[in-house]
Amino acid sequence: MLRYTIRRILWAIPTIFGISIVAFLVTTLIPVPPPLSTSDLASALLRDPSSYDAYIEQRRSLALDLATFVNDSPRDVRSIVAECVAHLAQNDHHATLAAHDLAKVGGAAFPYLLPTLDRLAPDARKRVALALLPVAERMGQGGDARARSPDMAPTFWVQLWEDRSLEFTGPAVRRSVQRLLRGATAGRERDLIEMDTFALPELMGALADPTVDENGVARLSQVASHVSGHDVMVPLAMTSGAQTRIREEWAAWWGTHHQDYVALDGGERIFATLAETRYGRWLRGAATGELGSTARDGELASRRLAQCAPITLSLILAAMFLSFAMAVPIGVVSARRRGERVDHVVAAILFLLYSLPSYVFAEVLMHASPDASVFARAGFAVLVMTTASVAALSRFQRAAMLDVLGQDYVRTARAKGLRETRVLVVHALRNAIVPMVTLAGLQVPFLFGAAIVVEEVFTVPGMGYETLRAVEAHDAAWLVVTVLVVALATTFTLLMSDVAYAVLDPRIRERLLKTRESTR
Amino acid sequence: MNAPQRPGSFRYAASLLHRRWFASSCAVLLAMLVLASVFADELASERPIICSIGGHVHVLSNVSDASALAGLTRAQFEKEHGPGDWAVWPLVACSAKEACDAPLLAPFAKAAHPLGTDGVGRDVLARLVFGTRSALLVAGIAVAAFVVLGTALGAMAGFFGGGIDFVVGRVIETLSAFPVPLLALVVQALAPHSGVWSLVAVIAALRWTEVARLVRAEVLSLSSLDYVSAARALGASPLRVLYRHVLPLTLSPIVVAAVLGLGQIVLLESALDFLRVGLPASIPTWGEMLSESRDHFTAWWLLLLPGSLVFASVTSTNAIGETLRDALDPRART
Repeated sequence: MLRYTIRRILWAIPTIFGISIVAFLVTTLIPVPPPLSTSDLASALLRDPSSYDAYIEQRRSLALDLATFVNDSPRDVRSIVAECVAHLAQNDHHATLAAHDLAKVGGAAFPYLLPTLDRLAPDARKRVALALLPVAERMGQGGDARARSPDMAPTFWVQLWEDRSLEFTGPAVRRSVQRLLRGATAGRERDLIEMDTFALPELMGALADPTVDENGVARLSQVASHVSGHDVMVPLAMTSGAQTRIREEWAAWWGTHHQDYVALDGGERIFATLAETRYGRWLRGAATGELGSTARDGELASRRLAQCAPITLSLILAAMFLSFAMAVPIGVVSARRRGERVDHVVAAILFLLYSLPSYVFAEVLMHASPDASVFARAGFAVLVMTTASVAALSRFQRAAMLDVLGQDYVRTARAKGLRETRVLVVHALRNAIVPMVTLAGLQVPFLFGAAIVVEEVFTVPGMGYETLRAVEAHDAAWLVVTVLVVALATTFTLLMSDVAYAVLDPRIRERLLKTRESTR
Repeated sequence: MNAPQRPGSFRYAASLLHRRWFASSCAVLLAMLVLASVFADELASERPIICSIGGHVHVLSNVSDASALAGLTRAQFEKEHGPGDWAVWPLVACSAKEACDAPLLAPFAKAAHPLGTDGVGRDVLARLVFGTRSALLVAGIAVAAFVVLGTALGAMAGFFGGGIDFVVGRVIETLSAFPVPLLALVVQALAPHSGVWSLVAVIAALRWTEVARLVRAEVLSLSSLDYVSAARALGASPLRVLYRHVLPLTLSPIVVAAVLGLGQIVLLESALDFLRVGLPASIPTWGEMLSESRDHFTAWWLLLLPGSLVFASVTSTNAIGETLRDALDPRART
């Protein structure tokens, strides 16, 4: 039994993967701002550097700068340096943007940039060195006249690297961070600032460390804001709420920016090929429940879902319970009276119910009693959903019962002289009801589909109703969350019903594994 | 009684359809709906079918774009027509898309509007007729698309097995986890160019799985039979075996699935229109008329007329489909 359950769960993994891909593909339908051309970007940068940065940040937060599924050349500090230096060396139309980007990367680029500065052509060397001027200003060395002069700047940076290269190592940064946490002095802060963005990985590591106290978080956050240019508000009086917010903000920022400041090697690079993609980012967000906020009032989509889902779930469960409660006796009676008048009448009624469009039925009910109370409307909703599913269930129950009634052991039971009700209920139904378990799982997506329309007609504020409001407001976050959650819930109930079926009917275990698709 | 009368043949299916009064009347009803949608322009159009005005004879001006007749209405024609002018008008001389000069929400007003008008003064009969056309057209195209897709993928999965089977099986399982109406309405809501074709594409992309499952199971059981081995032994290529020897025998379940699917798609499509995420609002549909009835609670004809057409078409395809299944698949008989 355990073996079967484990295998069934393993079967579900590709399905869950597939569901995530479909839900992700739905997100790609959402219209996004079109990319700007290089010349537009360069002029935007000249006019107003902050608007250029805002544009880049916006595309990053939507992960538009990444490939969809496979990122064959994941960005890291090394590739950014190589690219920027190449543009600056050629002095092409990308050069302005390259200078800006290089300055932004800052100290983290030094180990890959400064040792090779000598090997560049003199002109290129000057351009690269001048591009680093904003970094010198951040490091508190902007006053140095050599950093400003085109002729002296290369010497300035080469010399800086000769003097300080030993400080640009992980352990050195870690020690500086520890010192700052032990007690803040201007000198300790300056030590970190002089390492510029090279300190960021350690700073982020310390910010994620739960043992760091409130004052430590405030200090680290100030240094990080200074070197990265990303402002995080630090209140004068730190509270634990502010501390959590600051930690979260930095974690989110690092999540989308860390590849600018870190060099990827070996396994990390292979991982980044798959993870640093739009799908990878989205999947990480989905796994942590961060699927964005609703476009209507900015509430978190997952929180709104927690309010609506119980309503829809109780409608579905009530309808499921009622339809099973009706379908089983109907199926038993019509199987017992096969070919008689009762069977024909029941079959005709079921056939009509089966074809009845549930939304038309719901609308007729609504027209018949327009002033119904909330509870009456919820009752109507359950009624409509029940009629939508009872017909298929009854027919299935009848067929299963007919199967069993033809078996020898039923004849034996009758031959023993047992009363007919006992034969039917105890002997026959006990076996005939088992296959109905598989239908329970399939009912979930069907009833959810019905719930969308029914909730809309009866204005029951469940998931379906909310979904239609989201459609009107083009609220993509909500729609994607709903699609994902419903599909995962379906997969889960299918899994449960398969396992339950195998528990109830041991014969099925092996057979179900072999011919699962064809039996369904 | 000759040979083709055995269960499983299409001729037997036809005779069974003929013998069952309910199924045969459903078939007649469905045929009438198809005729109505084919000749929708002859039933409802603001221009005459044939007319002679000022010596010029305009034939089928309701279908062609007769610019000479622009702005001509029936009331105007009857008031102003000269001697020798005549015209044969459609059943309703009114367009399905634009309001006629009739009172709003009039039930069974006059001979001009036999089934009344809706909330903006459009003729209900005209909209029902054109709604039939859009419902059957969308359902027909979508069913054709998903049957072809499902047959191709299901046959490949069942016949070649291995990796293809695994992938197709996982895709089927994945797509079955989504409630079709939910995914269809989300795609319709988010897609930048949603319309008729995106609707058809979404329906086809979600509904092929049922056909694929059926065809796969059928192909799987057929390919283990001796005659298939014999065809292989004679040197037939795998594709030829599949196409000539296996696929023709899977026709009956496919036909049954297609007929049943037709009703399902009509239902799905009208439900989406009812929620106003289906076809564009410029196309008259049953579902859109039903959604209009929500704004006019007293106008029962806006609810019951399109509602019963949806019900009737779904019932018909279900009755025909189940009769076909009884006839073509003896195992499924109860």
